[in-house]
Amino acid sequence: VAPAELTDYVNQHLLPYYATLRVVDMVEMQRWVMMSKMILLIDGSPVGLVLDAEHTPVRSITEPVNESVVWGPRDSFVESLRMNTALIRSHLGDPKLKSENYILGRRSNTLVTLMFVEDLAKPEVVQEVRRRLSRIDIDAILDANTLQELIQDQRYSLFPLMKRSERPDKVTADLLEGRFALIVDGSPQVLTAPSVFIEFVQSAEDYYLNPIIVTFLRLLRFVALFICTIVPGLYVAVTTFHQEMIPVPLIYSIAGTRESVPFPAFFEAFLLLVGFELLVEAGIRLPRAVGGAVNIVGALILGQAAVQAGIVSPILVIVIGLTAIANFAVSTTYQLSIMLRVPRLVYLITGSMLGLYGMAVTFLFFMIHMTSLRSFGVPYLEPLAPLRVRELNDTFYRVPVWRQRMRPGLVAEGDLKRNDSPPPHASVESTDQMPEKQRGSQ
Amino acid sequence: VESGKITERDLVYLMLTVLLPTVLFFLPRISLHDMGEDAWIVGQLAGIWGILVAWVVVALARRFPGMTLVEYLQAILGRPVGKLLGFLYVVWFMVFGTITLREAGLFLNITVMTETPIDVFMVTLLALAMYAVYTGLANWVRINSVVLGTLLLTLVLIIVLPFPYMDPRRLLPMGTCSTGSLITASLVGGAWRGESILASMFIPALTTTGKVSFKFLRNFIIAILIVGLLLSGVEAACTMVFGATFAGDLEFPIFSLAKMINLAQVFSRLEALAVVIWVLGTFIKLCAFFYCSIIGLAQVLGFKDFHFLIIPMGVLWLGISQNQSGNIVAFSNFISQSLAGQGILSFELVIPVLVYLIAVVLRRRKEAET
Repeated sequence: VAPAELTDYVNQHLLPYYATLRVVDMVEMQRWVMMSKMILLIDGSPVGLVLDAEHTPVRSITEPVNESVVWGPRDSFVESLRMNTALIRSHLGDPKLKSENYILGRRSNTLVTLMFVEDLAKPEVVQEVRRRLSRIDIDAILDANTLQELIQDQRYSLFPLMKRSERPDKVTADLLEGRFALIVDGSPQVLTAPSVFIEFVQSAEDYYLNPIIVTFLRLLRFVALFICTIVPGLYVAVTTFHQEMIPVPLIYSIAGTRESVPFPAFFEAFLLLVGFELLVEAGIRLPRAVGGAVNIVGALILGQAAVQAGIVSPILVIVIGLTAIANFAVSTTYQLSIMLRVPRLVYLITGSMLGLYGMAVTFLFFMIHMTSLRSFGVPYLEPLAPLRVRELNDTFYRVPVWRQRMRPGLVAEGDLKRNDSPPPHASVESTDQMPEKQRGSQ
Repeated sequence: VESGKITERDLVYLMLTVLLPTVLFFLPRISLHDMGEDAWIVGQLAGIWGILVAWVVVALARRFPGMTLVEYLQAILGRPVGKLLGFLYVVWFMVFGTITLREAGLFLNITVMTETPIDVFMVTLLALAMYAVYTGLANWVRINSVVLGTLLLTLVLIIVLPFPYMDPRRLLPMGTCSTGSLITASLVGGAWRGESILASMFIPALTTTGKVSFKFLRNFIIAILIVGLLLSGVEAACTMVFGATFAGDLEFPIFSLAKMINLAQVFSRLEALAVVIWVLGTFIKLCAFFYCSIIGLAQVLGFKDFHFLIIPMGVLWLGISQNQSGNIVAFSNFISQSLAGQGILSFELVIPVLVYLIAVVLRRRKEAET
């Protein structure tokens, strides 16, 4: 056997890795050794194989911080790539789950792993990811977001076009729907795509609870989505332009509380929204020990005193408070909750300028923008637009697992049927109908 | 010219949204005014004209698969005549489209925002339609599945919710109108159902390969019947709530109907909301006409791309619609008296039928020669 072939044989059959990196020149080899890798050289062969031998310091696996659930798995990704791939593998034992390694970043030499299930992911999509990854020429990739901004479909878009998650179960579910995952060494979140908008309001817990309850939760979440984007604008639009829509007793009390307020409703709402955003920002940045102080200042001093001083009306404080709560109720992922503040502000401005008509125009604008978005070729509003009725079973409502038979057809390919188990039914007679056996003498 | 693809269902839904706004907001007044208690009968009767148009559209599309109206006009009538007629169709799309734009502006101006200049509405809606058409057919048509759902739901609610004020006896006397006046009145309604001719510009963009199916025709006809049903519902509800005489004098009967809603003291006076939903529908309609006029023009002039036409066409549209009839009375008279006959008697039904007959005769002659 020729030495080069021997290297290939060792690579393909004896090593526990799917695609091991190979080196052919000394400079590259030097780089690897500096990254504490092991190089396997076979006498006579011009190629060396790079093997993982390092022991890098790793944080231990903790509970997910940002995507916490009441029930369900509680492991979350850490900064080490190998640990993360191992977590995914432990959830998904399919031999068809393939991973490909890439070294990206001229200076950082960050290891990036692309994972997908071979007979579920669309080959064109995987090819497209490879192509987009190969075009990257940057000095360092420090986080998954760097990668996302370099490879997502849209140059500028408000909407998250790739999902970031710290939960292995979520990533596994995405892989099983034919999506691919990108794991960046050093980033405790994993990117998955193609993603659609509806995914960002689906929580991992939705699959660990009774489907009927989940349907209620989903509806609640869509109500929250409506409240946190539209309601501040709606309040301003209705009180400035369409007072007749408010029931008479309510309009008296609104007018009464607004009597002492010197500003127009728009300015009032704007003031409070900015105050709320400041509170959120301060809450994130502050050292944990003084976090409580911000809450007290925010709630008592600003909220209470602003009303008493007659700068804002109490009803508006309720409206903005509701918006704030809804904002975090809707966000199963931080990507959505942080993004929703922009549409909220736009709705507020257009609602105060052109009333409900302005808000309708804004709604249409966002709809056109969202339907024109693609995430690795998949329409962003699928399955709503384009309407795919059969795939609506996991959107506004969730059907029981035994009825979720198909994978999303615009994302997955090949083995589309995910579930062939019969609906559960009892074949045993009710125990009170069984003949009672004589209690044996023991 | 068009690379985006839509499904047959998308197109049927699109046609439903195209037909609904004008039919529901302008027709009830006209037919209640002219027909009194029998208005709701006309509502459904006018659908016949729409069905005829739908049939011609499908018949022509099956004869010339892969071609839009403007393209097969040239194939049937030869280049000079076909191009001229195609260009006239483009003008006709522009006329109906700008009327839609004007109608939206007037309606918003009269009902909810009386102090805002009408140009604000027309410019914003048109700019939005231009942006939508720019993003591509496959994208803006899909918004419709969301819009249509809300539109239908609101309409049904508006028809049903004022039930405490309804008195069925106000529908009497029934059937006092002569057959002649029924047919005349149905022509007015028919013109707005005849907007179905627009479908002929979209059929080549369907995902189904080859000829359009008869299933499509069936669904198309069902869509037209649903429009008629909703119109009849609105007219009947208006008559039952206000009485035919008073309803005929209302500027926008459906708007007044929405005003009557008072659900549990919480949801009352929902007319502003109704207007907003209606704006969503009108926007889709506007997009459809804008798209047809642009793609029609591109095909008449033989351009490969149509995106550069969007801005000039938008400016033109704004100019035309600003010069449409100045106030709502003139506008209402215009669309009920002049435009109705013009629409159904020319571009919507008569010309397509003639073109179809010519195509059939030419085919026969060709077959006889060979």
